[in-house]
Amino acid sequence: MGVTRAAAGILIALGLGGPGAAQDGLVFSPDALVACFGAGGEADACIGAAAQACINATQDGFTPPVMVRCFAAEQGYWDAALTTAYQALLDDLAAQDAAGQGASASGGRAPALRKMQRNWVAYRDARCDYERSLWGDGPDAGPASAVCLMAETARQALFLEEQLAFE
Amino acid sequence: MPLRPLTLAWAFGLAAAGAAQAQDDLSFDPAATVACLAAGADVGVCAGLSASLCMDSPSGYTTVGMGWCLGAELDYWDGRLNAAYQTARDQLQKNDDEYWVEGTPKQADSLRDMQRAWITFRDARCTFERSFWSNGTGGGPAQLQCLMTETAQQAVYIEANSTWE
Repeated sequence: MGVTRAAAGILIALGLGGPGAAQDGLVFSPDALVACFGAGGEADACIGAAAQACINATQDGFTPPVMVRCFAAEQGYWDAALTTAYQALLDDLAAQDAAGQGASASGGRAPALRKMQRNWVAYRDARCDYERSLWGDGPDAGPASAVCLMAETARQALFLEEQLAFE
Repeated sequence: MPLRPLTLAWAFGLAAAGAAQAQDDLSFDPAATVACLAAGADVGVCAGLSASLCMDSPSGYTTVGMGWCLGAELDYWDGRLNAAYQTARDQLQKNDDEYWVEGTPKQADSLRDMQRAWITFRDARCTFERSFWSNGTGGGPAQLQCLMTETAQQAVYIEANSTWE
């Protein structure tokens, strides 16, 4: 887990894995996330650390538009981690299915992963729409949705990484 | 390589599979889970405690016994989730009646849509977890454990949201 986080952080620092620093004045770096996980922090304590640092470091950070962009930037980090873990897991499970290990009433492991992931996207979006709806047309509606998308993407990325570690 | 959850419990189940008749000696009480949450621990830690205590008896580590105990805690969380959902829905309906602004989504509808999507996701996630138990009867308990854990997370999530409306 720590290795994966660190590796993803390096990718992003190189501009390969997600939004880089200083887009339109946004000061984003995944360093705070990498440090939090590196220090053994729990997921719930670490998720959002890079967005928080971004909000602190960017001019007018504590305004809804900048908050939304900082949350989206950290979401980009997690999106990249999720895609990497998902693809690796899918490859492993497809190989297991091909070897007959996943043949069962459940219809195979790789198809089960694909279906779960599809349904997760729909659930994440519905959950974050719900979170947004709780704020009506207030200024916090945008940040509420953005922080939800970031956090849910992070949790799913970590779940897939955990599954990958079982392989 | 870390072991998937339930692997050890299932090893017990295999050893005792022959004795999987009645669950006469099994009983379920949610008190441990409730006390754990009351002490401020995370639902991820507390969900399943009561099922584990339930399994701590001679037939508890059989497939049937594990299924019975996990099913009992799943029922407990299902009850909490339904209650929380109704409370939240009633509150959000009131919000919509009083404060809804043209052009914004209705809160009660958003809750319902989220809950529907959650059920579909939960089932797919737990089918995924079951797929690792291709031909063994451990798949049943693994799926139940997943359903129980996911239902607990969702119940606590909706309970928390409906306290600050």
